[in-house]
Amino acid sequence: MKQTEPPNCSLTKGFTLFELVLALGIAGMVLTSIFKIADGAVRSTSTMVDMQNEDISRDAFFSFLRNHFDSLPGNAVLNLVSTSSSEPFLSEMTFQNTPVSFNWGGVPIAAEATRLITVPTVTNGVDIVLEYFDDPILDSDEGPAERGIEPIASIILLRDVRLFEWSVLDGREYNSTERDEWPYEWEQNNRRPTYVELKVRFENGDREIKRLFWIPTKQNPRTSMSALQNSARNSRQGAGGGRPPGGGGQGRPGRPPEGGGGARPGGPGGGRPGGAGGAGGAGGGRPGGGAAGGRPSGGTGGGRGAPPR
Amino acid sequence: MMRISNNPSLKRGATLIAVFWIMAVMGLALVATVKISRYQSEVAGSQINGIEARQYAEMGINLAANPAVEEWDPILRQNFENGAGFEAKILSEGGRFNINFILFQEDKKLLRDIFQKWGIDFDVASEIADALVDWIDSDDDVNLNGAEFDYYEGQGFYNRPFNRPFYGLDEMRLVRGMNLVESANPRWRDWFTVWSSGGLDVQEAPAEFIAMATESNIEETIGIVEIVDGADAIRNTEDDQPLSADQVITNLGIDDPTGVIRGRLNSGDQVNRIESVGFAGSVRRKVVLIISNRSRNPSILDRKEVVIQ
Repeated sequence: MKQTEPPNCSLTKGFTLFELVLALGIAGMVLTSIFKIADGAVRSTSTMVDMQNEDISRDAFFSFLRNHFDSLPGNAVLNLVSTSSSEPFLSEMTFQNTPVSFNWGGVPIAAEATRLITVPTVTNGVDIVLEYFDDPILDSDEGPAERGIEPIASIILLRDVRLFEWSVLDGREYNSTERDEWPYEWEQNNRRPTYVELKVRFENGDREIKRLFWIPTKQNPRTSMSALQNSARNSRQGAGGGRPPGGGGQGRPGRPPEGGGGARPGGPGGGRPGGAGGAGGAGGGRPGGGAAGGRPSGGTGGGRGAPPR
Repeated sequence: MMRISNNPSLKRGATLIAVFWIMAVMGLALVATVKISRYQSEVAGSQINGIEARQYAEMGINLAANPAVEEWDPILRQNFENGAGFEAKILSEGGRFNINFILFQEDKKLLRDIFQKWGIDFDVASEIADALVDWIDSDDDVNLNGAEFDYYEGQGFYNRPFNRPFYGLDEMRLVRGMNLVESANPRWRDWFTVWSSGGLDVQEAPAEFIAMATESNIEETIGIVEIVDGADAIRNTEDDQPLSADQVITNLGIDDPTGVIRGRLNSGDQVNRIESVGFAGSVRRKVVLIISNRSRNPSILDRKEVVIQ
């Protein structure tokens, strides 16, 4: 009887089905875990980038405000009113005589007034909106909407913020005002607060961020320009020159006087509506006077707006 | 029947490969975590450095604003152990051309000369000069090639021109033709100011500016600057030799019967520009303060944080 040859050695060393299934299973598990880790890393990177972008936009917002308060001209008028006594707290901060303060992106804009307002959202938050006006809006007791003055441009700076609350401090009352009792309103159009504080909470669960902005007390540019004009006039007379331009006062007739404009009542007391409102104050600027025959200032509906003071 | 191989060397190999896989995956996760941590730490460090640099810049401003501190005082440049510090400079704002003063004097020739030096055609330079005069004069009469309300209205701007002096250099950008100036010389702001008290301060202005104002060759005015700088040839040091405007005219041998050249010059301007650069790590912040009467009763004219190029 012929004996059969033993099976090929190399064949006996191959993998069994069980080994293959086991290897595939292990490989699957390893690949799955690699994928999960890689996916997690990508997600965390993406989250981190999103957070960084948010931080950058928030920092940019604060820098924007700081630069703005820093560079307010000496004749700028600031007005802060609180328009809601319950959450979300709403406010309107208006700037006048700051024609080029809110320029950005290299595009020169000359607005008569700019307003930083809070607009409630459906989720009980607020949008922060910057509005530009072609007409002065602090020259009357009535708001711009009541007078039919519409902003010429609006920009949403922040969306759906949970808390956005301004408070101000008059430098003269620094010693008599507790830190947590700064007024929420400022309606003195002939002077500015020394400090403006912003409390903001961007998301639910976020911590409340406080930012303090200093408004430097600056000389009214009209004062220095008047002196400069006299100096130029003298210099010109010395040189045998003629009439200097801009003589007879700066600006177009029909404008309200410097620092005036605001006829809103209320003083430094501020306080939310319904709370302890401020009494008195230095509102009530004279209406636009000046020489007769000037163009009327302000005006809407295609009329000529008064140039910034 | 095939038998499952029990070769122990094969088993050890498979385990080794599995261990390699696990190590690779864990290594990837570790590297990603380290990178994220490092990035976050760099961002936080940069923010802290930014705050610190701004504080040092403010420190420089405070020191330089002190009337007891002279321009050459070493206290204005300080480095601390952590590599942070500040460098403050006390300059005269009179070292730049005051655009309002030039326009009050209706010195269009000087403006034309400056614009032409930057490569702007004579006719265009004249148009820009006329438009600048129209911007600040109080009437609505258009200069020969100027631009009054009708022009700006046609462009859709109802509150231009302002018909008052410029309160900031940014306002100059709103004037017709200034885009051409900006194209011709992007650093045009370095030439002008709105805050000095009159003509060009011959003690502070560079030779190029003095040459422009006196209609002289720059080689001649370099000699004037060398006299002012003193033996050490460095401005704002103890050995500086102040010159009056009359002395400069005499030294340059200028025949000025009408007094036009003399009217452009000034000496010992009392408006100071304090520039302070704070640094921490690789972050730098620059604060600029413009004050008048630093030595007596100072008042802030302007203040801003500027971007360091």
